[in-house]
Amino acid sequence: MTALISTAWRWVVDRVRDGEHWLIDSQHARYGASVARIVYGLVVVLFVIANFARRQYLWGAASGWDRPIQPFSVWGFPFTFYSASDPAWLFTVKFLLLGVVGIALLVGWHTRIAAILTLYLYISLVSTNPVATDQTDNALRIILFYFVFADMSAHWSLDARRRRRRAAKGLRPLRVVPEWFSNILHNGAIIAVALQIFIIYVVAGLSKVKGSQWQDGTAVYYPLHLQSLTPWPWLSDLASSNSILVNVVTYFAVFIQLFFPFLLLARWTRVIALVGIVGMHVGIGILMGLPLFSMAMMAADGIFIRDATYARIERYVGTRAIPWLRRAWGRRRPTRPPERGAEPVDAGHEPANAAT
Amino acid sequence: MQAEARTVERRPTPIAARVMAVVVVLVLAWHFLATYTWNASPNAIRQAIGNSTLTSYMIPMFGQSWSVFAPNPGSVNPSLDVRAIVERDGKSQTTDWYSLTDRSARNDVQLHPIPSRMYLNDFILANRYYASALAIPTDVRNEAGKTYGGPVWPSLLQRNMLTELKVDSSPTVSAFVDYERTVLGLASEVAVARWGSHVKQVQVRVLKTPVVPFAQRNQKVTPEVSYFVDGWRPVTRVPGVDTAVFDSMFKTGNRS
Repeated sequence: MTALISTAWRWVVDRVRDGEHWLIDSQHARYGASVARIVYGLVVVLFVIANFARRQYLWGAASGWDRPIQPFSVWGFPFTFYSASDPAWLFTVKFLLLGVVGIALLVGWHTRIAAILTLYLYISLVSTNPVATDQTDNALRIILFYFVFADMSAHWSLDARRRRRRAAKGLRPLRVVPEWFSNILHNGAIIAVALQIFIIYVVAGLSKVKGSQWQDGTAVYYPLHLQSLTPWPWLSDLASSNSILVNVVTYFAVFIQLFFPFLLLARWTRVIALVGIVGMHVGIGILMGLPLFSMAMMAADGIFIRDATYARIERYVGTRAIPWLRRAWGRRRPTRPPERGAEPVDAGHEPANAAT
Repeated sequence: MQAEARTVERRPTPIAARVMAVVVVLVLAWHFLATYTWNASPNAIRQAIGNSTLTSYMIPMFGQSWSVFAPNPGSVNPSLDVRAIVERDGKSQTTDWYSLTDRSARNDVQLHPIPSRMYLNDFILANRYYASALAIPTDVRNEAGKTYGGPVWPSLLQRNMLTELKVDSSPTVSAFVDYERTVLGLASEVAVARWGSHVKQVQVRVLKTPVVPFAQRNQKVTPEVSYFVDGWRPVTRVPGVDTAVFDSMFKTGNRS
């Protein structure tokens, strides 16, 4: 009996050690967090472009009609940056500012500040109009909030390039907090994103299970016939014309969401989960005209791809795809050696800095 | 989610790191207990946490609702329509109904790979306005179908509805009047942009047309349309609104 207890105790202690090691000693999903940064930046930039023509009607100088229902908003100070009382030009400047911070986030220029400003401006804007907000806003707000605690600048960012250049000059990295501190925050944020994603998919799947149209496999037919969700009516008709196809897509949508967290547990089912969920999001994005929602979700799903896989893709692009493209493009410019190697810590690939 | 192959030397873990790790795990545990409970149906865990504690923690930052297209997806197309009485040369004329939602679908959704938020705005407004009207008992709701004039028509309408309900105040009636003012403000700006400054009165309605059920999609079915028709109201301009925007969107001949 005592032997059993001590074995169990040792097992628990070992698992706690593993957990500590996982949380404290290194950062996980560093590529995934960087991909999320790029996608959220892109979402915000595309949001600004797509809504530019209607900005005054929806949130700006022509949006005062929604004042009577404004008090229903749960948002208040300090998210009051945008106002229907602003003159049209001022609103336009503020609106474009969201696009600017979105670009900064995309390219990873002072990433954490850019992410916080993006959150602040995005929330302020969409909370201004209570009848023009959708699940994109919830997904982006909540998930980007978690990511603010993570290092989203590790790869493919201007911040990373700046750090590489510092290192190439032989300067020590700027560090105001100990490494374990940022590691714990980063890993905590990654766990938060994962759990949030699980809740989203499982709740979305579970809430469909009791719906009669999801049970009889016809549900996807209906949104494809709503005016507001059919950018391509002929395509929606085509997609919903075959009843077997409608059945398959309907059941697939329920099951891929419901089982998503469990499919992640084994490597080969993880591939099914990710390909399946991406397929669902691409379908929603194109057919129902919700690409920004799809992107906001897929950005977070990217943390479930291993860093090793991303690194292999990066290596392939750097050593094969880019040189191949260069050759295919013609030989106008002399071919330079591949810019990026396998590891992003290939400090000093910039000739100017390599001298030091 | 594997760690990158960075050089990690196994150093003794500082006690502060251990403490912080425990704190982060506890915060995550609480946060996702709250998030899960928030998303679940009302249950004993929610009662244990306390509804108001949970709400004040989740709202506004973590407000969320993921039962999308569920239990069944929406299957009703709303139409937010406006028409006006135009007085010209002593003669008054009633215009045809004009659908704001049709315009949005045609000009802002169709053929747009990334539709703007116009895919929501008039549609959600139509749905919420309709719902706020239907929340009022039928005989009291009929009051809204009457013609109202004068600048203080919203308070008159509200008072008459409260009198019929024999109550001093009603959140249902207030919500309806708030939506009524919103929709009438929008409709008035649209009417003036579309039919000119001779518009004397405006009227709005919401039509709800269900999508033909899947099983009958290849048959000739006339769907049963539900509707809410509001009474005539005076032109209710929105103070300080940029009318040029409405002109560019709604003036006859402008196709944007």
